[in-house]
Amino acid sequence: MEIQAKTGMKQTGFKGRMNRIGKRLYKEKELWIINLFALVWVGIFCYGPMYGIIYSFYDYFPGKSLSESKFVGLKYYVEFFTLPDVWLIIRNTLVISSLGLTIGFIAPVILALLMNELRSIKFKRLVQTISYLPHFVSWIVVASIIFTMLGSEGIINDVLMKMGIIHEPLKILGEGEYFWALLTSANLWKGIGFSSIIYIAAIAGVDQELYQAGAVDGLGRFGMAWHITLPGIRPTVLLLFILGIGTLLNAGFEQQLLLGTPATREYHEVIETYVYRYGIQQGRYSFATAVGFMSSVLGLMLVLSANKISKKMTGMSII
Amino acid sequence: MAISLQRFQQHLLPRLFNKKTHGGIYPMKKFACSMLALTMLVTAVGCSSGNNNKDSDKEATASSGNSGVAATNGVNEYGWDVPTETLKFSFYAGYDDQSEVDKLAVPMSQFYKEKFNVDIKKLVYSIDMNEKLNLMLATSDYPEVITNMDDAMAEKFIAQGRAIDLTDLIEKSAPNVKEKLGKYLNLMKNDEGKIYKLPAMWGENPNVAGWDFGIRYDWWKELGTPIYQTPEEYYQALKQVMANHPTNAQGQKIYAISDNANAGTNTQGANLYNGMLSAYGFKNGFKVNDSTGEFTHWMNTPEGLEIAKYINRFYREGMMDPDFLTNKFEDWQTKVTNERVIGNIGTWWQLWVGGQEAWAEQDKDKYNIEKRYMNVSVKAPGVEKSTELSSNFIGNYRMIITDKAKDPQKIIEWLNWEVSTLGTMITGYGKPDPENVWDIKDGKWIFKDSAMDYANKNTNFHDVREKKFGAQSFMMVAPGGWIKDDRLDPRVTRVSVYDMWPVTEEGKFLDAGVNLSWENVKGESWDSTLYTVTYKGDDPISNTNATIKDTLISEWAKMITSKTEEDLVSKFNSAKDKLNKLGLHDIEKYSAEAYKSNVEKFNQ
Repeated sequence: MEIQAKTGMKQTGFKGRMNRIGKRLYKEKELWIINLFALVWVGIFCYGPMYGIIYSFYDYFPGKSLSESKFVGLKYYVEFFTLPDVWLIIRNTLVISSLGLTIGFIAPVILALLMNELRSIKFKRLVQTISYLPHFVSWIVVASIIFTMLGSEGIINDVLMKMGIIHEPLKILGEGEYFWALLTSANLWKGIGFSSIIYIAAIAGVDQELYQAGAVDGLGRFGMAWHITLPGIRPTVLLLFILGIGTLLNAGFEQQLLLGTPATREYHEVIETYVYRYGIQQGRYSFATAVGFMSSVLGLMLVLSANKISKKMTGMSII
Repeated sequence: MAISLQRFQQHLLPRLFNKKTHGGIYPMKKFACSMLALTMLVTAVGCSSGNNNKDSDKEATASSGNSGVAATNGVNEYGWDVPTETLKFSFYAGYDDQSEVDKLAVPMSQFYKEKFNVDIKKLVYSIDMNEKLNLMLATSDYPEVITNMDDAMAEKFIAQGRAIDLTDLIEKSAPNVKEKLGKYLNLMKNDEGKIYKLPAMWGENPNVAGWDFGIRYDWWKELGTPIYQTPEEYYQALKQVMANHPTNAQGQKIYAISDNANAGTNTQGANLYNGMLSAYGFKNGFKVNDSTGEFTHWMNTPEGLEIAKYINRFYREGMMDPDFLTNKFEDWQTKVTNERVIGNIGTWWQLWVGGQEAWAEQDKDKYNIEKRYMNVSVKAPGVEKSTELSSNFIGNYRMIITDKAKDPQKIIEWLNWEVSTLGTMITGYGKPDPENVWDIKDGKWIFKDSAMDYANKNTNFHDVREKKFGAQSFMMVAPGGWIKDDRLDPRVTRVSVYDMWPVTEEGKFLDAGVNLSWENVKGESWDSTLYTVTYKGDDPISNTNATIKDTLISEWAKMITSKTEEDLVSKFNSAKDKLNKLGLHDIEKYSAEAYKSNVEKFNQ
């Protein structure tokens, strides 16, 4: 090994790998020092609490220590799949997330492209600010607005009736069939502006010379957006899409609790609301931890799979 | 017949023997008098043990528990044996805003410190109480006393050894608790006969009208005051009023009935079946066969289908507010105040708040007392007794002293004082004071005239005692039931920590409007105490119960919004099957067993 080092040949084995890591760390020491605080923070607050996963394998009740609790293995993982409403909950979670991942994902990209086409800087800033605002409005306020607008005597029903499109008010809030569309629209309204920021930033980074070249080649505004802007922000779009897939089992929480009614339960109950009501509120922490951990593992697996597919198909990946 | 011991000694005895020598009673008569006095004393004590409400003087001296160990400064004018060392502890009481609670508690806190040498801190958190209690258990961070917790939560603390055994403490230092709870204290005992929890907000306090069938009084009067007694008659009355009043002054449609739920809950529609179940004589949602002890959930009875059909008819005929499944209480209240709701199958106070109380405030001097809601007891044909009014003596909430308590003996003595009639009055109404809604004059508890001004009850009564005097700030185990005491102002009735109702000398309510609202309420309550069921957190049945509750609410919403009666029947049957598959029969058995166990405990 020593000879190899002296002769410049690549070291192999554990020792060699550690040497290489050490050298690299030394070389990048300034960067690591800058990041040290963040790394410590992540370690303490993100990885530290993960020891709590162990509770999902025990019959833990608040007030007991872990050593007093009985080891039950995968009992709570299995319990989740034996719940009477489990498939309904999984269905709702996947449908709501998928709608978010498709409509909710594409819409900010389109908005960013549209805003990029605005020529008046002042107007562009105004539109941007207005589109961000809903993000800062709490779900409680949003829910009140939705109830006021979509109630049987709300403005939507009023307009539709005055236009003669409907003859009696639609029960938009009181019928389950409308719930997914309602929730997706609400999520979209609230998040579209804020989610578009990153795409606007990515668009700003596209080489301006490409547009000049496009103009010379006779591309119109649509052509430039399609052939230059979109390919230019493709890595960003892909990165966010892959990360978004990881949240497929997180369909939201506050929205469902605030907008859900008895009539929409079959459409609004998702994994998170179920775990909150039947796990956290009832002090069944082992069950809540098991379901939470399971969702995270599945999310991670989805991210890795999407990453692999992306790498194979487009050559781009996040890892 | 009950004569308090202290009253007897102070007032009656001197009157009986008014001829005295320099030493007192004539020597010749001394023996006879002593014997007579002794006999009367025994009689008085004997009588008082059979009546919990008129021995208030006795309980005042006994209220401090007489532990006989700690040094005291003597019994104060309110019956509390003031300790030389300040009694200091904190208690957790549920959901609220701590800064607001602290602000309101100041007058009461000062009063307790000055006159009682007691320093109590009330803790509240803006988080669901059960969530917080679970966290407290997990982190072992909880105060000396926890109150207003549900029974299952109290059982969790007890099971983990976090609540202290109160059995001996009650025996030794809490005669008021023992005496006032009487046989109901048995229901707090575990299988070993130990007591770890006490009820909070207990006592006999039947609601005014309970689950009733309300109607707009003035509109009903237009019909010629037809007294409706059955659900069908109620439906017909509502239909006629709706025909007479299709829209309000703003041209908005008026509906026969509606429903709502409090913010944070999704129980819209539940009031409708709960109200109906009372008209059919169901007990806590079950049809109880007294001879076999069998409990049948209403969804498994033919009456259940009848009830669903009844409510569905309102929906199909456009008599139901279309937003009844989404209304929060405030939305519903707005509709009631805007004169868009004719009746209500639910609880009386909701109509009260949204109706007459709001209109009286709006119209001020122009308010016509007939513009109000009337509450009516309704019973389905063939039903022996409706169950619209229930009284659960032990209530649904509990209090425990935790293992964090440094001096549980003194805390139980304090709680014993709180349970005394005077203690309850002070806890519930604030300190007796000429500026407060009540004061003590010549030993009588007199209400201020302004507090009895019904039109301004919120400002002159509730606001004064709660906002100015911090009333109810430190309520831990005080009864919520009716307070009965000879010293109470005879001009009021139904006095509890919540409220009081001024009456005339003839016993009618002082406010004419109140009489109009309640003249058709029967007011017979049934004791639902023994039907109390506790679902322990670690028992799988509690999960079954929660799932069934959620599913029932959602299935009920679906069935009553059916477009045809055939559709409703099909949805009802499908919901029944679904609920039974989820374990409804297990819940029936569990409830029957809980009742049986409660009866056995009660009769121990």
